[in-house]
Amino acid sequence: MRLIFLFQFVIASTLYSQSNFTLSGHIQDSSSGEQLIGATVWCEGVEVGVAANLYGFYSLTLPEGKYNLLVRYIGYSTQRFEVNLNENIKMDVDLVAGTTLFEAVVTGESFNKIEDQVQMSKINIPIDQVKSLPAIGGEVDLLKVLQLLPGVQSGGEGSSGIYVRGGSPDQNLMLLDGVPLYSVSHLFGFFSVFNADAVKNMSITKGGFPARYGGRLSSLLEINMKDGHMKEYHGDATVSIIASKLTVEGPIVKDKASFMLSGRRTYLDLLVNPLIALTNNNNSDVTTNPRYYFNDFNAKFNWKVGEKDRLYLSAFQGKDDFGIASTENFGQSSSSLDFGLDWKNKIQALRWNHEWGPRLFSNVTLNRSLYEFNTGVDLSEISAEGDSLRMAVLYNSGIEDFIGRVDFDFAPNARHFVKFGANWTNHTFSPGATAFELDFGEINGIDTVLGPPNINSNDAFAYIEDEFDLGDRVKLNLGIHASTLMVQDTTYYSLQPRAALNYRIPGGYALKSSFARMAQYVNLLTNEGLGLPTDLWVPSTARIRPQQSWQIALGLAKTFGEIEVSLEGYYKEMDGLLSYKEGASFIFSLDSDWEDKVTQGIGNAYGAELLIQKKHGRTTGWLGYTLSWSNRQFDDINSGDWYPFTYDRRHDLSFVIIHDFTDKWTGSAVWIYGTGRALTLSESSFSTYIPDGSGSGVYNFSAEVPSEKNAFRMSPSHRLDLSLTRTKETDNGSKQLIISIYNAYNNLNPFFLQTDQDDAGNPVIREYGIFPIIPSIAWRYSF
Amino acid sequence: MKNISYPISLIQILIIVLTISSCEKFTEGVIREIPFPEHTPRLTATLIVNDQDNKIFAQVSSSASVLDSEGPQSVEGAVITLTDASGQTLYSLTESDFYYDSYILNLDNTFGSPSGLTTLTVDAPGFDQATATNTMPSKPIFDLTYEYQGDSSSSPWGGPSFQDVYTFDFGNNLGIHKNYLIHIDARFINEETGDTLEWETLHLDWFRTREDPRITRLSIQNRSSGAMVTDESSSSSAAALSDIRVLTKSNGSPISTRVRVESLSPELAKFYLSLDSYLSSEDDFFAEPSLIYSNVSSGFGCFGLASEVILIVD
Repeated sequence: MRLIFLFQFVIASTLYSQSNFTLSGHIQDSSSGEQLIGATVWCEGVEVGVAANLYGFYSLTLPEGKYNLLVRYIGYSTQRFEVNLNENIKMDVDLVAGTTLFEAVVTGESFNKIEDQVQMSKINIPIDQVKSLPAIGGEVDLLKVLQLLPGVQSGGEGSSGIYVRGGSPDQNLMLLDGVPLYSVSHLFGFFSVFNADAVKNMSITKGGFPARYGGRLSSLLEINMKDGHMKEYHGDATVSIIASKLTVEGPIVKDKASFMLSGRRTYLDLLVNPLIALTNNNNSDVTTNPRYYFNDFNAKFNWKVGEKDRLYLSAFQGKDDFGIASTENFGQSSSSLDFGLDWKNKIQALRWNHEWGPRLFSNVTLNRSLYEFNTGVDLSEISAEGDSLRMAVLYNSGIEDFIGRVDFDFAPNARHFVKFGANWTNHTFSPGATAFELDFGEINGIDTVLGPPNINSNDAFAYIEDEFDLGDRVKLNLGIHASTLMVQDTTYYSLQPRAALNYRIPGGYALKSSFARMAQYVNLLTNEGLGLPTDLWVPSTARIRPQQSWQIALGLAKTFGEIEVSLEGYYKEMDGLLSYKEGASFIFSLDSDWEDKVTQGIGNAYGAELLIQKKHGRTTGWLGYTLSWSNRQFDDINSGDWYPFTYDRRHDLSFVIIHDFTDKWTGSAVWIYGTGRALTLSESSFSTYIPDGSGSGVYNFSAEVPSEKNAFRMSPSHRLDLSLTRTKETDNGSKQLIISIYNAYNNLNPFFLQTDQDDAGNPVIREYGIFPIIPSIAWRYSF
Repeated sequence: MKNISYPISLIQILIIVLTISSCEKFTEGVIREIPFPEHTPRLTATLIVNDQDNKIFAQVSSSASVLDSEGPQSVEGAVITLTDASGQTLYSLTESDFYYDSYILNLDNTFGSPSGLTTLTVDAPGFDQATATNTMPSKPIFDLTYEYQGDSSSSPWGGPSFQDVYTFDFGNNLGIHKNYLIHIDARFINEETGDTLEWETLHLDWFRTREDPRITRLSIQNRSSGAMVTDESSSSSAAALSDIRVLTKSNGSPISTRVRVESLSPELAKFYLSLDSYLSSEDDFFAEPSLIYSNVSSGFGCFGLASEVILIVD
């Protein structure tokens, strides 16, 4: 009822604010019609501005008068307009890709510099920059680029997992076109599912979360697919040593409707299969056929229904399939074994944009997200006597979401920008069911499924936030996010205040601070050290309380010429963290459910982050440094004592540089350094006993134990990656040859370790690395 | 074009050189060797006794590095002392009580229930003194209902399955965590000789009780014979420990059945649970690492007290 009241108030404000007029419209790429998220409109003289929303829509309300406006976006020529605002004006702006001298002139006075933004702890990475960076196997990976940012850590050498400000991997909300993805890994985590050719923009928010975001404690990763070229047909074809990709886009109805289709597949299996077949031919009695591939497919359709309405239909599907099949034939007897392990993601999203007026914009979204994991083994035998036996064990788990969401953007005047909305999600969790199939031929077999039942839960939230000026020096974003979870006849509530402040201090510096309370109703049960697709998504339940956190951050930001500098400190406390108990794992057992295997605890994380970034010019890149601590405490782990989180990393440094030597040649280099991962190592052995339960005897044990959890550190890792791209323009498009060298000075970084003895017989810990220098080459053709 | 081919050639040469130079490193995979942390042997002391025991059993040994091929060694010549809250010595075990690898002291009566804090002190030559304290928990109080073949179900593996049901109602002291360990014993007749056999601990059926979070299978004792009951998750309710159902397979025809319920001190319960986690995960590559709880000052071992009630059921 309150929401309806608020809505009526907003509509009334829109209709009856007569003293001001509104300039509104979309900002888009002049050639493709792509909406430019975050492009800015700046009003000279009045010194106010606004940024386009996720759909490229902007709305700026000003008193009647003549204004000079600047419209700009990174990588595009800035446009200047003079507007006589004596009525509401709808003006779509087309920006032309490529920078001009004019932009250099206005850079110093442009809006939306880092010191102008209220939002802190948010970083946008231009996709063009991403594509210019070195990539292992020539396969550009968006998540690996995020790992180069301060406050974002990798799970390990080669891994695409991300750990943000001391948080767990499940505390990152990863949205692809607004739809949450639950597993973002290909090839056991070495690659992410995001295909850079299909992506328009990417941003990560690590703290200071505005009220419109919720559901995760640590970060929000927003990735948006390209909308599709509105005017011409275009495409990209890329061939690398890992995979090939093809992306095509174009108009369905010129300037009205467009599409984008993108597919990617690895072909290691296709290359290796002939060799395996050759090997199998040498011994026809025994055949072995391993398989592995991943693929993903992105699709998007975008339709301008009218002047005020727009529809988007997005879909994504990604799949990994790993397995091995073998057969043995010895005369009349034979046997076969088939082991498989596969996982897949599917999302679909339908979005409807509507402009209710020049100051009110809405987006309604209906989503579905599905993640499934399956593994199993199927063994069958036929004896020489003709008796048959078949035994199969199949395990599957997953999660499926249906989501409905509505968001409103309301700009009552130049000083206020209000967002409000609501979201409802229905989750169905399948936390691991195991099917057993036994068939003994003529004897009765077994066909049964064991495991916990599916869990259904519903969570919902509503929010309202207002970003406004308080005088010339102070900008604020205040909001409230209220959420609830209904599961197993239990209802949880959470009221989450959000606040962000930008205070301009003398010298052009911005002093920023933020506070955010967050709640999370879904959890990932994962082995801290491994991060496998076997990780299990489970809900908060009547027994498992939701995860909660609060985070404060304080920062200083300023732009020096073309270089943005930001320094931030943060402190975060977390409650309701979920972990496997000591000795527990995902391995199925008949006498315990997943809820018996887990325990909940608390954690904290704090640190400082420095980002020096240059986004314009022939030379771009950034320097990121993080000094951080992250700790955990569970009553059932480490004897209840605090211990460092596995990804507690004291120092994390990354240096990224991209340079356009000429129009044809672009080079890039990435150097990283990170403190070694914390891990648990059994160091001591001791003897003990317990009574045997009969009342008369004892059992003696000898146990090997660590002194404390995560008390040991792997060695620090550091690496240099290089890339050189040659671009050749042709009549039909452009060709690129991309040469990358991963780990250029061949420093093997620790991947795992084991205890052993050296040549002299002394006990040592040996660290093993698996990624030496890896040169790679890729070809790309754009048309 | 000449300007272009030159740097490519250089790059190709560089890649080839670096790749060749990395081959050995790649095949071996070893980055570096780190000296294993030095281990200073510490005194390990374990003494677990319940009020009905008529002997005290203690194990004293030295810890070792995991890479020490000889492993932990028993320590002879230790002096093990139990003192009460006032500092009076209750029992003392010395070298003369050492048999094989343990210290055993036979008592004239049962151990009983010393009031207040009991202190364990272990002195051994060449080691720092190890100490631990514990308090004897009060006797378990409970009501018991027994149903012969009171539960039947379809086995997940096919066919009907019958279980005898023992239902316990424990009184719950609000705000105080309680830990009980339940065993079910039976006596059978030797069919060949007609003799009555010793008490035999029955295996409990876990599949039907797995959804009760208050019951934990303790597999370290007689494999699957011990049921640990805790009110950690529900101690705020007076009825938190009522209707605890423990099931046994209804096999054979015992001539008598009894239940043994131990009330465990919190330290002993933690020790049992952590040891159980450790042992049950030994063969699981994916299992989280386990630490074994200790209340002994050296960090290894346990001093645990328990009080027991035995009830003949049938």
